[in-house]
Amino acid sequence: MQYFYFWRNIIVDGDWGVSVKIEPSVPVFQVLRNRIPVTMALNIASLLVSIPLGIITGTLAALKKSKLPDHVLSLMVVLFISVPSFVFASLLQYFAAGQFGWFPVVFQNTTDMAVKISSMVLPVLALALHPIASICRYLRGELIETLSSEFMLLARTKGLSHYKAIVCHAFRNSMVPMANVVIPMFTHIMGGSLVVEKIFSIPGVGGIMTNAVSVNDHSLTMAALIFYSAISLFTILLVDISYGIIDPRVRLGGKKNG
Amino acid sequence: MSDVILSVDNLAVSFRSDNGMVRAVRGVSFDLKRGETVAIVGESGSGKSVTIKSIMGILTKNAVIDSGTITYDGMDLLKLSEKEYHHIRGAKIGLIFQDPLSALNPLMKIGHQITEALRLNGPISKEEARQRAVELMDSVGIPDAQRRFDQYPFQFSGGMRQRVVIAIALARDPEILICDEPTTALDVTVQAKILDLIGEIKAKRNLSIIFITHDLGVVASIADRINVMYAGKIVETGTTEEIFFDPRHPYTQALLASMPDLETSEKLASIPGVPPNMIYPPKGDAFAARNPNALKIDFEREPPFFKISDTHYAATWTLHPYAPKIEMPGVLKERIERMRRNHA
Ligand SMILES: Nc1ncnc2c1ncn2[C@@H]1O[C@H](COP(=O)(O)OP(=O)(O)OP(=O)(O)O)[C@@H](O)[C@H]1O
Ligand SMILES: [Mg+2]
Repeated sequence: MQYFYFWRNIIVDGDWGVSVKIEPSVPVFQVLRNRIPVTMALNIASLLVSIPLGIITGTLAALKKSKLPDHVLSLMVVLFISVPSFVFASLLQYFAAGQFGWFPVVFQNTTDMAVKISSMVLPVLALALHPIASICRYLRGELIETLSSEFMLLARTKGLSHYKAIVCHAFRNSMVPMANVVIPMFTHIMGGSLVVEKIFSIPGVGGIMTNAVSVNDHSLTMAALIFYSAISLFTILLVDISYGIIDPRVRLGGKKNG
Repeated sequence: MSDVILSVDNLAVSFRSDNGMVRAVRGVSFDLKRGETVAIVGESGSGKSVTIKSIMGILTKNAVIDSGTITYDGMDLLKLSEKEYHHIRGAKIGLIFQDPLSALNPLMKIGHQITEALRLNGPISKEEARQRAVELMDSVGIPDAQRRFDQYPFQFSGGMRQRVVIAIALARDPEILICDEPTTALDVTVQAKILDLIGEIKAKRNLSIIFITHDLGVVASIADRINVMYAGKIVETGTTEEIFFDPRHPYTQALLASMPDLETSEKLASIPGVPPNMIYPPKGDAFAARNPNALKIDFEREPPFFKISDTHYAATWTLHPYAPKIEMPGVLKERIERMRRNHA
């Protein structure tokens, strides 16, 4: 019966209950409210950093296929994709922050923006390595395929220069399905952020959720999970919509020859 | 001869592969005269596409040019830098591909793919480019060009796409048009229309055409001269009449005998065996292994070209004065007779 009231309150009143252990008696939404922007900033920053780096490395690997840059990049891709982000987070923290002191060891919540940003560099980097690698791997494959396609030959026999044919045809075509790779990656970054936030003591949703789980603060855990589920559902929706917007074959498919 | 516009001399091209060098083209020579249509006929893998890719300078990186020259306008195309080639490709020599389904960029509007070529001629305004592209689409028989300009390749049928490819090839007004099996991927009825179109634009624009095909039937109506290619070499060359009515090389004869036509009721004579592996090209006449009447020397020494007339040459030992006379198969004789009668 208790459980029934719990759900009824959520659905009817939007009452998510209160935190029981971490911040006793504070409504869970209030606990999360200040943390959501931090988590979103961290994750979006990681995504924004990874897109250009992924594109540059992927293009380089494709154009230098089977040469040294390609081999080096392939090795890094395997490393970054298979090792989880919290390992890089710990390593970066130990070396770049601890040993060399280039960046603060943990998150600095000050009003000094420069310090605040520099304390975000390592967590962003730790989270971005995996997406950089996946974009690189994806774009390399896609570009290599388009580069050897017949329409690239036609582009060249028209008289386009090699460079122009690559930019206007191969690169452009490979970028089109990109949104469908990048958007789902956001969910992956969020997952890594659960642990990375804790490592760098970032006051985000991920850190509080790991705490809530370990001290059995159920209502807070629930609220955090709802937040993550909503984000994943939203990204899936975005992917479906973007397919329709980007690819003319899907966009115009309904009215063929019409 | 000053009216020769393009001349391929002793071209040999190999490809590096994991199993060794693939000798794709082994000493091909032919001339293209101004205003004429030259056909290159041969079965799959005989090196036709490699020959024309060498002319267009679009061979893949694993290709090695072993020997030869390709002379156009006093230049050897094989010696041009990539940059110099931009003045040739598209502008002087246009190419139509085998497979119109994959030759167009699937994610780019048809109109843009044409104007992209038009703009290479010099700067023109957007409206003018559109105008010219629509005219071009009209002239290659694409109905409703204004509207179709903004459509994507997937909204076009195979035949219509081939017309788009032709429009693109013509956009820069080249002197030479190379057609690499332009009708192979199309239905028979569409094939005939595309052939008509090629004939029409040739007359209108005074083009010289190199026409590649594996189907002798296709070239009969369109070619002035025919080169028959086998295993990377031209084995017989002659005018269309000479090749059809007086074939001398056993391979040409086999090709003619295997050509489907409406009047023969006998079974089609297929050519036995398979083409040779071009990593280990055969020593003598490459076709000997598939020729039931092959002579001993065919397996040992490569036949030179024997002259039959000023325009007709064939590389086969059967033309040697000492060679035993081999009768042409009866079916083929009848067929040639019939073709002669129909022709007259
Ligand atoms: N890039 C390449 N790498 C290795 N071998 C190649 C390459 N391109 C062509 N070849 C080989 O060269 C030979 C001739 O190929 P080509 O494409 O010229 O044949 P074709 O006469 O055009 O045949 P089709 O009628 O099938 O188009 C084939 O044996 C083929 O395997
Ligand atoms: Mg071919």
